[in-house]
Amino acid sequence: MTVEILLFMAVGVVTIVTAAMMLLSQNAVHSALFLIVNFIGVAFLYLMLEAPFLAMVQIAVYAGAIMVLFLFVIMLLGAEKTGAGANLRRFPWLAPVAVTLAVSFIISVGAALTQGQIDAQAPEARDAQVRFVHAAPIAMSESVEGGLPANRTFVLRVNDEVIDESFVFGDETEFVEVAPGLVNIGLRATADGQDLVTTTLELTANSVQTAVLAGEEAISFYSVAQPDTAGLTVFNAYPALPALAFGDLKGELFDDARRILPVGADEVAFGTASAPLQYPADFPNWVAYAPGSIEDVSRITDAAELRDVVVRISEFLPEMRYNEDALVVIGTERRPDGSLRPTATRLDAASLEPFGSVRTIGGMLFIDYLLPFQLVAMLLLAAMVGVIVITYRGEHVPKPSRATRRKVARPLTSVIASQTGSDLAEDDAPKLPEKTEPVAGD
Amino acid sequence: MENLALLAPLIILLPSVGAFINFVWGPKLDERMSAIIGTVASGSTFFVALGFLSYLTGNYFEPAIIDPPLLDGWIRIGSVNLDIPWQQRIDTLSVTMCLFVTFVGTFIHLYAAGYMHGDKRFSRFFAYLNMFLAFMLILITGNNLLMMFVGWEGVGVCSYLLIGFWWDKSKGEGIKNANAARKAFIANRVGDFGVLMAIFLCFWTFGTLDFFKATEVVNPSHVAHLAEGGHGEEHGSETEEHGAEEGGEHGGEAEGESLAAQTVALASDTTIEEGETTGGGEGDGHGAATEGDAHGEGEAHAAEGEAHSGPTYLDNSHLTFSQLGMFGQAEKLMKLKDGETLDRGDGTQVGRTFTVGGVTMDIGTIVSLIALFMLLGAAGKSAQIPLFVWLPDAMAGPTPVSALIHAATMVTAGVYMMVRSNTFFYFSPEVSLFVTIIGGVTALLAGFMALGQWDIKRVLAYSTVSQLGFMVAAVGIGAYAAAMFHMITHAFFKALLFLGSGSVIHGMEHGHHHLHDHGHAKGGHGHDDKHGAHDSHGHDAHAHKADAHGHDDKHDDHGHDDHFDPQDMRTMGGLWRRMPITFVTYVIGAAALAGLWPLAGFWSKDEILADSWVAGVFDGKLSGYIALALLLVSAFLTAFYMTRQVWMVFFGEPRHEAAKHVPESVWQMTVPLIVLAVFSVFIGFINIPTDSGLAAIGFDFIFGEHLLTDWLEYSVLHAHVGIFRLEIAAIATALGFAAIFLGIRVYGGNRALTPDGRDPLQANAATRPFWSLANARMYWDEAYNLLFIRPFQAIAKFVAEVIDWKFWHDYVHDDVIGKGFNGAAKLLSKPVDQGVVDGSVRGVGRLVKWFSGVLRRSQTGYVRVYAVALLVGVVAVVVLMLLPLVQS
Amino acid sequence: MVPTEAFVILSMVLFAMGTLGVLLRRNAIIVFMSVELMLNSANLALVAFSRQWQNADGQLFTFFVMTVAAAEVAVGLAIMVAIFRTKQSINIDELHLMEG
Repeated sequence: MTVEILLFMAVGVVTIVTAAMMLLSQNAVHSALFLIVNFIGVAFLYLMLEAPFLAMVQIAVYAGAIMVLFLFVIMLLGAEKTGAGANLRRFPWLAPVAVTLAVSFIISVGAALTQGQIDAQAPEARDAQVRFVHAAPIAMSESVEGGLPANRTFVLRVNDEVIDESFVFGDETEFVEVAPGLVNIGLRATADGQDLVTTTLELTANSVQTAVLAGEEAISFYSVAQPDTAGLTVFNAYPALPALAFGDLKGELFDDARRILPVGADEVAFGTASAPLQYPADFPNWVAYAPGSIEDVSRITDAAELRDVVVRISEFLPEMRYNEDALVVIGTERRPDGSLRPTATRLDAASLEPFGSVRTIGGMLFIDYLLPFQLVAMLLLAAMVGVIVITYRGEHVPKPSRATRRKVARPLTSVIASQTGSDLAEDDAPKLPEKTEPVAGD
Repeated sequence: MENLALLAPLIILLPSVGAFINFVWGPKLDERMSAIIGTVASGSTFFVALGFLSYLTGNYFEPAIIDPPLLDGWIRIGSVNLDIPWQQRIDTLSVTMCLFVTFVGTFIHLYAAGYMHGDKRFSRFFAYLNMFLAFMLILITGNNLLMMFVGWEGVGVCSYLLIGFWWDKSKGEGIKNANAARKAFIANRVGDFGVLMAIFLCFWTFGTLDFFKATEVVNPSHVAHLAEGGHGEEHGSETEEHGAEEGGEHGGEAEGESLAAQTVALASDTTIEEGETTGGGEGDGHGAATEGDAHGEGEAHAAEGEAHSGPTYLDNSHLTFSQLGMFGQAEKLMKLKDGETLDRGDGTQVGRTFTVGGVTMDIGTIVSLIALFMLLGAAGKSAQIPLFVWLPDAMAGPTPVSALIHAATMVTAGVYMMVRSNTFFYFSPEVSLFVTIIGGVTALLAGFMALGQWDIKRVLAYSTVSQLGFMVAAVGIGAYAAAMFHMITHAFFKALLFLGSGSVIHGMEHGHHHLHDHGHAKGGHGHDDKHGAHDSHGHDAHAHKADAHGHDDKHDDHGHDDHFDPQDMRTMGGLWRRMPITFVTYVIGAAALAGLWPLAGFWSKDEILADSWVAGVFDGKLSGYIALALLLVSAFLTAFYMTRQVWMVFFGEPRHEAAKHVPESVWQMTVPLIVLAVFSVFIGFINIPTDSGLAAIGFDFIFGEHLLTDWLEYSVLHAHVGIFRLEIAAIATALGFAAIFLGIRVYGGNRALTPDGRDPLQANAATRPFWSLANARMYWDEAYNLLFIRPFQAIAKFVAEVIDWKFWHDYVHDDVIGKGFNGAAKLLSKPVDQGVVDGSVRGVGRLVKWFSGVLRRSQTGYVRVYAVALLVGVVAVVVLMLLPLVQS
Repeated sequence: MVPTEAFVILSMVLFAMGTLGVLLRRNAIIVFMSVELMLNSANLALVAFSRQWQNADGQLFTFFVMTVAAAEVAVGLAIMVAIFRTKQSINIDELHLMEG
């Protein structure tokens, strides 16, 4: 019995009790209030069922709007006390039949649940999500095209299923969902059919991974898990850099005091990722560099030369929204002379949203289910119009005798009676002296 | 500028849009807007036609076939291999037609803006004119017989609508107009039968209705020759010319061997053929006469052609038989010998014999039949014997209509069709002879009938018939280019004459109004104030506007004082002082028509006469002699009746009070007259013959010799260059002057009418029988009445009264069907209807009533009962769904 | 982790109580509230199964059910107000105008 189950039982008992009280109470206002508590309990159950958005809607719409409407109508009609108990006089067979039906319903469904084949013990595990990034420049072709080696294309397979037909250097795939467990990943050159990489990755259920193809001679996939917290995660996929440090580049070009100040983050080894970097709000000029060698960059006056030794990662920072996480891969690009230098790429593919989040529901509502959504909106509009039509009584033409009555002096019963169209309370209303001539400002 | 040919759909679309606007919004537009829309729609087509001209000259006269994508595959029925695309053909022939049709049409639109002023259906008139222009251009630019037929019928409908445009005139005039429209329509139906038969025969024989396919070259030898450098320079002397003509005619034989080197495969789906040159041409398809004969100019041409790397030309030898259009197929088939066969391209063979409608015929017979049926169609549309009777009556329409449709454009459609189909006529000499006779006799008889007419427009109508006879006769002798040339010149001067006569008629009406108002100004008529402006002889715009009191009234007889006919030449006379512009332009037009040197009519008429001389003397064709004899007499008659008309209308003393008060017309009417007059003078120079002496004084520098013929040779396969025969020209000119002289002797001075109102020829006892015959139009209408209309009416009456009424109505319907039905109904009503049918219906009703009485008890009206029922259903469904799960 | 079964059984019980309310109460407003209770129990089952299969469609459907219920409540209460105006009562046993 975990705390969760205890909580469920408590809430469940509350809902059942309040439902019963709603049925049994003689006063309709009490019934409505019990029902509100019942709805709030159901909303709590929604929270336990990974549906936070629905829980909020339940409270706002049901417990709020709808029940207020009920209460308003009950009070408007003065219908608190009407009819309690079953009308057994006219339908003596009704109560036994109703109870029989309810019980048979519970029994049949319960039997189906307990004796049936549905495994309703726990939710199904979600598939792992993984994306692949090609950041291994050595996997280029030997054939030379226009002075630069041409990119070799590969066929990327996961468990013998083709993910990408033409996987080239610099590519990034979308997230794919893969059944959890040991996963075979194969990379075969399109041109000569050579298997470049054949490896396995261990993917756990519900996890979100990024597999980066990196390395110079021993090329392999390195997997990075999606970080839990927001921030900038930097992955080192540049073989020439066994370790990568982060620093703040101070000063402008041609500035003698131009330096890189370390920012205190851990160094990142090749094939690993940093912890999410939290950055200050004043937009620092953060760079990644090989530690120990080039802290003094005052001698570098050429922007291109600067790019050869440091990688600006701060340029990705302003793009990041609040509470967002991002993954930047320090990869490779070619200098004009054909040699390599580090560069940074931010990965774009968005992982699937967690189940039941507002964004998921909103996306489905406005993309997949747009037509039903619009139909429901039309339904609400029609209901609104219908309500007005049903309750509209035409222009209220006061009788000549009433026109002389001073309205401010009318008691509440009379007001309700006039609104509901009945003259029931009229007899009880205090008689006012009738005036013979019409009031001027009336 | 090869893309200019892509404007082709526009040339139909623009007038269609104009017609649409004037149809739909016409009643809301004022006259000015309607006229501007109509005239601009027409004028813009002229500029489109100029675009075509630019395209052709820039593209070595290579035809383009434009296939508007929206109408791709216009009519396509796979089961019978019927595939008729909506293709427009931009070649020298169609562009020639387009140019003069749109040019003349535009000025007639402008003229109509003045002429129709005040008419209550003004915008409708312009809508019809635009619609006519659109259909005419479909007729001209269509690349298959069916499109041509669509235009053919469309212009027929517009003609019908416009002849009967004043169908609502009072006092029987309206009925007369409507009858004239109907006459034109029905006479044309007879001709349409011929066109339809020709279409069917063509489709049965050739399996296609396309004139030429997109990949096909019309006249390979000419294209080859052009690429080699220069053209038409080889006609130095008569003999050489003749040799060249022979070479041209047999160019088809040379095509296979000499031009094979230049064959380049083209993508068959491109509509405009263009390509890189494959080097200088070697095509000596013209035989020996062309070689070594090129002038310096020709060599310059050649150098230029190579420098510009002209288009690739093809000789069709790469095309299979079914890839050719119907003319190409006919050419190949006619050259087959008996028993020889050709491969169609799909493995099947085609020989000289075809089975058409169950009859097996030789290709020569079929081609002759097609030509004969086309002649029937042309006789209808181009008003030849025996179907010409509608054209004089068609003058009931407004004068711009007479000028546009019944003189310049529509009536030439028949000649255009024959020139377009010249292959068929070329290969059937007997039919060509018949064509010559029809044309020549028509020219002669119509010219004769024109002598006896009093109506100014009727004279011109017969003159039109006569001139169309010239063209048809030219087709008959094989002078296709000459026929086109005469068509063009005739379009200009005949439109000019019609517009001039309209101006005269308009003036006479004004004069009569003037007279009328003077006579009744004191009588207190309701519209006196309106016509006050006329006191100042106002023909300025303002006075003109004040006159706008319902045009139908204006064209009516005014009835209560006299039966004044503004078109009757007897009421005219001495008009040259009152309307000088009209007079000068009219005389120019008349002189052009009479064929006086150097006006347009001289060149075209002389070319026809010279060609018939060549056909008779050089080629020994009988048709040449016939044409020469008939046409020379016709030319004489032409000059004579035009002299008679000019004198009656413009000279002498005014013979009616109205003629003394005629104002000159407004500028909308005089400007077209002047423009057309200028063209009537100069248009003949587009095709001046060699050796005419003009080359010596530099005229060929302006236009070049045989410009039109050389130009037409790219689309008219059997066109050939005419020659100049001084003796023929001299005889024709002498005859013309003699006729004028004779005319002045008869009608000159003030002798146009004898004092008792008769024609001098009528007064003379010797000529009276002839004149009376001409005046009675040779009793054609009466003969038709007796021969066709009376028997037809008798048959119709018999069918209506005996067959339809007595037999069908009285006997079959009333007696057999009606009484039989009544008897059967009585028999069936009691046992079957009341017993079985009623009983079963009532039984069902009773059953339903009883059952509903039982069922209604279940509806208690209490909510909870319904809820329980619902819940029982829900539980039942749930149990049924879940039970299988529980059991397993 | 609470098993889905538990939620389904709870929803079933609530549904049965709702049906009893609909069948046995006379006050139309209470009947209406019972209907709402039934709808809620169905929603609960939907959401529970949605979590079971990790498929958000169930939640979406719950959303639509809520919207329809809102519309239904608005119209239903309006009808009740209209009935009350003419009959001065919303006791459903007094309403049997549609008796056959």
